Amino acid sequence: MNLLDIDSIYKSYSNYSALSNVSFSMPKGSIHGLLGPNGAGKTTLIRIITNIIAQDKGEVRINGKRSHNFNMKHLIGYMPEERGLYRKMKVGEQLVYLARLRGMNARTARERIMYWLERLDASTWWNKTIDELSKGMSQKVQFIATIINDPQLIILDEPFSGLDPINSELIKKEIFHLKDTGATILFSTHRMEQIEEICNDIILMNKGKVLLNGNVTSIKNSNKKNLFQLNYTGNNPLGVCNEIEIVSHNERTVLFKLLTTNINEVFEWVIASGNQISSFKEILPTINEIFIEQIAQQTV
Amino acid sequence: MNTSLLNIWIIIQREFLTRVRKKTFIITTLLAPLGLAALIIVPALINIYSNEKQTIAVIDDSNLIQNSFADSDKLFFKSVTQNIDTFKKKYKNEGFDGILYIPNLDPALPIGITYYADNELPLRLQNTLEERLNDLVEKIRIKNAGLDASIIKNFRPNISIVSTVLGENEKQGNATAASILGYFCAFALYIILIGYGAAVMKGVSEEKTNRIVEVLISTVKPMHLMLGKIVGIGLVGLLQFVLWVVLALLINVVAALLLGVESQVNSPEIASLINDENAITSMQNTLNEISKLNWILILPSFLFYFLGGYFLYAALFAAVGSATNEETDAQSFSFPIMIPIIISITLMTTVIDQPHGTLAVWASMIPFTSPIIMMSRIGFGVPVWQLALSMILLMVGFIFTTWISAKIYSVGILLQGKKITFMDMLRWIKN
Repeated sequence: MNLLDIDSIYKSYSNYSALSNVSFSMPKGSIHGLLGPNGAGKTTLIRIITNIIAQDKGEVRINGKRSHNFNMKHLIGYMPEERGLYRKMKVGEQLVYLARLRGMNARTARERIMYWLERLDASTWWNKTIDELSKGMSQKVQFIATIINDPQLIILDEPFSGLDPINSELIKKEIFHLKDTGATILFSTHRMEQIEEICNDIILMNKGKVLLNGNVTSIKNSNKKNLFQLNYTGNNPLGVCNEIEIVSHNERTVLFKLLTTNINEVFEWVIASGNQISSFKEILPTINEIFIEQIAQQTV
Repeated sequence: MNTSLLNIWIIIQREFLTRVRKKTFIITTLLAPLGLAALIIVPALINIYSNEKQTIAVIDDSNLIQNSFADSDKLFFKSVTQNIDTFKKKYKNEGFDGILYIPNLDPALPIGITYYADNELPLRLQNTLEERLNDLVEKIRIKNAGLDASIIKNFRPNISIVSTVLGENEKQGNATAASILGYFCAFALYIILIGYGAAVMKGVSEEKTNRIVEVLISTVKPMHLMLGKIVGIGLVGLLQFVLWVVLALLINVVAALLLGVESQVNSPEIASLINDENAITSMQNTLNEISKLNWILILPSFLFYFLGGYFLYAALFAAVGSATNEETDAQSFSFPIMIPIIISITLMTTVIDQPHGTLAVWASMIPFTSPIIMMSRIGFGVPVWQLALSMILLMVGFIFTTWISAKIYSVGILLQGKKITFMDMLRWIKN
């Protein structure tokens, strides 16, 4: 069953279309990456999902139910890109306040907050104000605020920005932990390597439309360029092969594009020249390359 | 409790508690009345306990007044029989602070009396001297006319007009008491509306600039957030006001015990300051009249106009706070909101002069001016229908401003970095 269904969402501001026919679904327990250049409509979409603003047309369903029902706000934990906390308020009080607004009672909230502060090596922060914390530290507080009431859908906008590698790793570990405990996670980022590391699926947006939507591996496969890399040993010249177009050839490494479907011909060509094949692999495009290519295509 | 109400309640708690626990709140709440009291008490204390004694030489060429000046605590007179011109040069060496010179004058035309000193004659000393001289010359004139001074004194009446308001049961009014009440209430409301309105504006704009608002409204409705903030800050204002009143009363009691009101009022300094013995009775009368005002009506009305006016303006200040990005913006946007408050306070004097005039009646009906204007005329007796209509209109007014403000607020708080104009706000209200 899908936790989230986005069904033909439209949203425009005066004469500018922010979202146009946006649809996708997120099965329960999945991690989706939301990608797109600035102005693609990611924030607008997130704000519609979190009920901060209303769409002009279309439907958002959570667990199959239309999400305009206000009480469903407690099902979502949202960490905006522009972090926001009360600068002069103590960490503990602030988290209790935010947890209570999300339907927890003060006592349970305090217990859960202590649990999370300890889990994120922050157990001594209860009486500190945000002003006393570093940017990375307040980021952790913001993360706790997002997930404190165990929401079913967690939306993280650039969760790693401002974090050092150690804390990035810590938060990444927690994202997987939340997934394992049943949460569904949508996270928006510009950092492609994180998408490949963390997400099962991606939604690529540009100019208010969904360009690509699907499983990371299948998107990579459907965007592959038939590029292969072959390494060989031996000193004999390779000669000519009509099945391929050589992209580069350095130090016994050949990068080539296969023009036909017959890969065996290529192997025979190398062996016939009297050399030995030492390794062979297909080069799949990175999400970054697909992203740039797709955006460029749309711009043309 | 319903989720929405519970959320508003949680927000009210935070807004209230974070402010009440702040050092600035505690300090201003305690220091404002103490500061005010200090302004009144310190000069009085200085006056009473200061050792500054003045000795004045009296050269009386007229020979009429000699030795008639009695010394008081700090003012000593000594008659000197020397030439004024030579004495002018040495009065200081002989330990005098000044010379009161009375030329050879005719009591029928007492001119030419001069005070010589290195410094300007202080106003209070001038008043004291003039009053004593007047009394003396008066006595001499009465004596010269062959009359008995004690009989003349009995001729002096002490008239005070009692104003009576006609109605079902005629009630005695007192214009002075009503005016004092009017001024006090009007200024208190003026400070509350502007001060706490600005606090709401600052609170909203802080939440917008530090971006927490996006986290909050992904959980609560913008309208609830705005209402919670307004009510929370309103309660802080109410608490502060109540504490001020309690503290003022306490200080009053303590000051009375400390200084001894009786002796103070009877001291020659105060008497000469007031310049008329009757003034003391009149002051006591006024205090008496103030206590006799219809407090059962006035106190709840003040509370109503306090809250009504606050809600009306706080909603507008919240809208302005949500639409601003920088401090300067906030000031230019908040000015139009402050205009009716400023107009109210400028109309106040006219309203107190003519509390039942057309201007007073109309201005106490319009919700934007009614809190200050109605409270400045309420002591003079306001017909029940006017009070009821004014209150209903104020409620309609604050529902209206809350409604339009909520529209501006819910859009404004999410707009970062964009310069917002009044036209934008109008468009948001229409949508």
